[in-house]
Amino acid sequence: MKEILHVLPENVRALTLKLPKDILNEVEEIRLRVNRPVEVRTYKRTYVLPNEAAPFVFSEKESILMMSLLSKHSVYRLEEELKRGYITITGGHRVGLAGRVVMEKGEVKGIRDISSFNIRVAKQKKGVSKPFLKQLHQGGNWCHTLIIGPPKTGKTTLLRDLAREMSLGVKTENMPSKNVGIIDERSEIAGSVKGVPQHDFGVKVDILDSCPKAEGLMMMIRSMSPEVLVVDEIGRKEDGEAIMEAVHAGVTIFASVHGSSLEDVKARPTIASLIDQSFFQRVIELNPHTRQGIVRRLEWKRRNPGVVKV
Amino acid sequence: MEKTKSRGREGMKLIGAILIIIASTVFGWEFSGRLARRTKQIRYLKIAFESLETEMVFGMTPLPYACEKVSNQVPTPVGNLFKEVATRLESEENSAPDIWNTAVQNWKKRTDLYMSEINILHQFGQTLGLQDLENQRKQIRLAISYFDQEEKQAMESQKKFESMYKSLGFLGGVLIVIIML
Repeated sequence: MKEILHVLPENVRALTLKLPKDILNEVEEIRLRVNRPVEVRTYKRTYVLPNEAAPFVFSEKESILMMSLLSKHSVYRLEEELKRGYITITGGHRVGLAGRVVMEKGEVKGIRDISSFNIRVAKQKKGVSKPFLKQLHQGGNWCHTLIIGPPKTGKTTLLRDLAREMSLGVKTENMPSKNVGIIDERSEIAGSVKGVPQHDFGVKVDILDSCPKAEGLMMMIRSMSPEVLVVDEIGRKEDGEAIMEAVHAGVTIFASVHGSSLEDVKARPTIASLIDQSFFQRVIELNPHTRQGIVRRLEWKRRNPGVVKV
Repeated sequence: MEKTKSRGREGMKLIGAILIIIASTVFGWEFSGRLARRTKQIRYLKIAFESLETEMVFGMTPLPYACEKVSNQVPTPVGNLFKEVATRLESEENSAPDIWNTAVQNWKKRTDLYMSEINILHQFGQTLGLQDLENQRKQIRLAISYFDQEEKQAMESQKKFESMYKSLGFLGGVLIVIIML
């Protein structure tokens, strides 16, 4: 939260700090729009600063100042970020941007005259994966796992914590620490700033930041010899193929996908083929209301039954 | 008795005359020195902006560090401007254009620059750190090309007036002495 207060203009910060402590700790989003009131959202409800009757209005001047603070007075360094539409700040928090889009040669070149900011608070909830660990582990190895859940159910948070647990290893449960590779296309799992992860992952984690998933999976296998690969929000055809390759290469896969249930995601051809060919051994379904997860065991058929002795 | 008194008065006159001539000569030198210093300062500004461009565009250095580095590369008083901007960017919570403008305001008294150069600096500052790479680069280039013109003009007036101010100072002193005699 401290890092976020740092990028807010002074008057907005003062108003934010006036919120009660317990609300501040639960903040998930802060939305700032030019000429509109500032909204602070928690899991339960939305607050307007300082109150709904007489809201504070975010001016254009403050948006310029905010851009200055976000970029440390150096918007010229944010070329890539302005193309993608969000900035990751220290602490792994993400600031989404909207404004006037500039095109060049038919491609988005960046955003100028920024009119909306959406700060998404990244929270590392250490230990959320604890209840799942035992069920995802079999005979000294981790199982290929798919996490299914609608947006904002904590898929990424769970994935992040799983990566941390696997890299640290759990001695008491006979789970040795593994080399974990993370392909972080949207800089959400690790929240890297200049390539350095902002979350605690233990020691044995390598991250390919803002790398396309399919290429990233292969790059990791070739270059970093990971034992476990973690990847967020698979869905495209290439992703499926890359995952098959990785499984055949003997690497354990942890992936997440948007969807409300196993049946639901099976409607998507890529995921369906991965599940039907039983590439995944475990599925975790996250419930949006209770925020709890159910682990399902999928049958694991070996596709290469013939053992050839050399 | 009379003789010594008048000799004393003569002596005083001579000293006075010499003092006047020295003073006006110093004035003349100061004026011509200002011309020379202005040319030099514009040249240093150009160098400073060129290295700022290198830092921003090729080094991708954040603005505070870029200013800090530039301030170490150019001599005073130009270095002081960048030094002040760098420290203010680190300590104050204001947008970069505001900081730049106040820094320029404080700094201009310590230079021999004309309003035209100060205006170029102000204009450059308006968008400092708020634009993407390409536009930021354009702004720096624009400022440098303005400084080029100013430098040419400053050099011309230096050539024209430098020796003139010097001799004008000395001769002006002599003139005053003659009138007062």
